[in-house]
Amino acid sequence: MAISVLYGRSRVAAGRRDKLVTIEQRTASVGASQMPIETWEPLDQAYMSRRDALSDEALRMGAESTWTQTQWHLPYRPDMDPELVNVTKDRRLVFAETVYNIRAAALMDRRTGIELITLAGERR
Amino acid sequence: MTPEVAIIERLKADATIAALVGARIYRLKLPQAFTPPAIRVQRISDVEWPLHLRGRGTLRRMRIQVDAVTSEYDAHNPDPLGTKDELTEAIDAALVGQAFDSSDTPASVRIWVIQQADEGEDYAAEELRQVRGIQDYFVIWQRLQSGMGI
Repeated sequence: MAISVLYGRSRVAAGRRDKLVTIEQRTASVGASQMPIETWEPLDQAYMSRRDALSDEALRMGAESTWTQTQWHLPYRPDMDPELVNVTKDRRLVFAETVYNIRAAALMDRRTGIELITLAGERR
Repeated sequence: MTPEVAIIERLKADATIAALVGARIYRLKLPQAFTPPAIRVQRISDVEWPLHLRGRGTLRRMRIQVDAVTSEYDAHNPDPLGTKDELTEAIDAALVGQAFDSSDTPASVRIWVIQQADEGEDYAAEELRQVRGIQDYFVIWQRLQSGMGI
């Protein structure tokens, strides 16, 4: 919540950004089979806060599988700005050997931070 | 023993398939959080075959589905369809045109012949990111009575 604009720049609570998360970037190509290939390489690491918002388990494609929707907050950085980069397509997160695919990205108040919504499969 | 188990044993005994999936060949359901690639075998139907005027026969025609499940991000072959194609070809080579008895003693099931019935592929998006080869086979088989082994 913004505190006040009368005393300078408004402030937003950072939350508990205590998770050091790897941000990966995508390289796109096409395989010999002509199926698109996504290759992911580390871009950087950032401290983020994490909140698991929703989780469920279902039989999909012949196997029980779990998915988790997670909300992340990280400090503002241009290479994760959804207005400058296609974050949902070209970025993903890796934390504790689990891949988190980004489904939505939004700027927090006055570019003080970035909020990500991710979907992850079974945690290893 | 069931004919499905006899077919799973046949797949497990194939060196090319074992090199790709190890012992990860399952029936009906894949285990939770399994490591791809893996194979899933499922019975689709099983009927007496053929019918004739002298009464019921002992042969049966089964349709089975054999799924080759691989990861989109496969270290063995970076082409997402690469390992799937290798695995489906190896499954075909191990099954099509083959005749064999189950490995129990005495053999309780005889597979007379396996024919291709259908083939397709599928992709699971979202959290799974899996590529799947789906192959259906007709299996002409017979339950053996004691002493009927080849």
